[in-house]
Amino acid sequence: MSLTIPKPLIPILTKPMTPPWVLALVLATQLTINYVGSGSNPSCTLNVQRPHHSTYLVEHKNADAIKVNVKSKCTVPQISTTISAEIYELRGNQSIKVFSVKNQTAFADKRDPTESIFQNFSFVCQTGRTGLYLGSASGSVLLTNGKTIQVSGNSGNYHPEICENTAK
Amino acid sequence: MSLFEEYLTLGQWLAESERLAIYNYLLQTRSDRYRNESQLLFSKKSLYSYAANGEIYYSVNSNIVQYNARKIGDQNWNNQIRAMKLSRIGFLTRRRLCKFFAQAELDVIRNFPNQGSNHQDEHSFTVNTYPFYTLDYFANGGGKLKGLFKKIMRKEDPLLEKLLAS
Repeated sequence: MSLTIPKPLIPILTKPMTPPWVLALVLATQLTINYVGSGSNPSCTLNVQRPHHSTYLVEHKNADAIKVNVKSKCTVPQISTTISAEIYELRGNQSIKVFSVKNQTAFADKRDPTESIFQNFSFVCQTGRTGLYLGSASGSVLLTNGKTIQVSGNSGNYHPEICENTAK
Repeated sequence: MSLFEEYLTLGQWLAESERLAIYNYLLQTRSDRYRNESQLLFSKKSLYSYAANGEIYYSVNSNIVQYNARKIGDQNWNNQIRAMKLSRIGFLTRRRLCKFFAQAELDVIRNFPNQGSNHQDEHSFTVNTYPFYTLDYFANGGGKLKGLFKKIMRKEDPLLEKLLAS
């Protein structure tokens, strides 16, 4: 049995609805907008991790610490990120700075040059004590195109953290 | 394991005051080695050195000394980490180079520590923006006079004494 296609349908099935040159033009325009958009307005964010407890061994003794890690991430490759970071503790209604480090530079990650990772901004805490902590950092990112972008961030709300190993 | 060897395993756990104490310890205990290395660097224009689990490549070009670093066993070098302009006066240059070597070794000890008990998370090569041999470090970029004042007023970290005694 042969299939018969009604005549009025043939032009619809065989001819494209939009001329190819219009499609090409739309595609090219979209690509140009995307490229110019990302090239002229690169952006960076600073992600400050929630302060958390950790232990390390120093001078043959275990030390309890509250630490914060920070990562900068850009839409384009960077050379380095320079920041100052703090950890605050909420005591009563007062926010007390319990840790501070200034002018630390991390060079772009070899595997992903759009990001730089800072580890272990930390202070030794009193074992067993619970505190409400918040991490904060600010600084700038030097991009490979020579531009500098200011960045800042914090870990959100004050979060309770106990200064001891709670892992079972 | 000596106290200094234990500190070579801390890496990212080294606190700011501990890093400064180790820098001063290196300056005080390795001055002869640094003087020999500075002569080698001037005669050959480049030099390889090691600290903890890292390798350092120094080079001199147009009166600028710079260093690159990598973890021992890695193929690729990090891009230039620090550079310093050298003085045209011989003894000043040697003194500055010794400080540059100590700073470079400290940076590498921080980033490529020896294997030890402490877990080291993945991180970027991280340094103090202002090296310890500049007054800018003590002033946090607030000017040389402020830096000089703060440097004079600063108390030596007790760790330096412990390291020297160990």
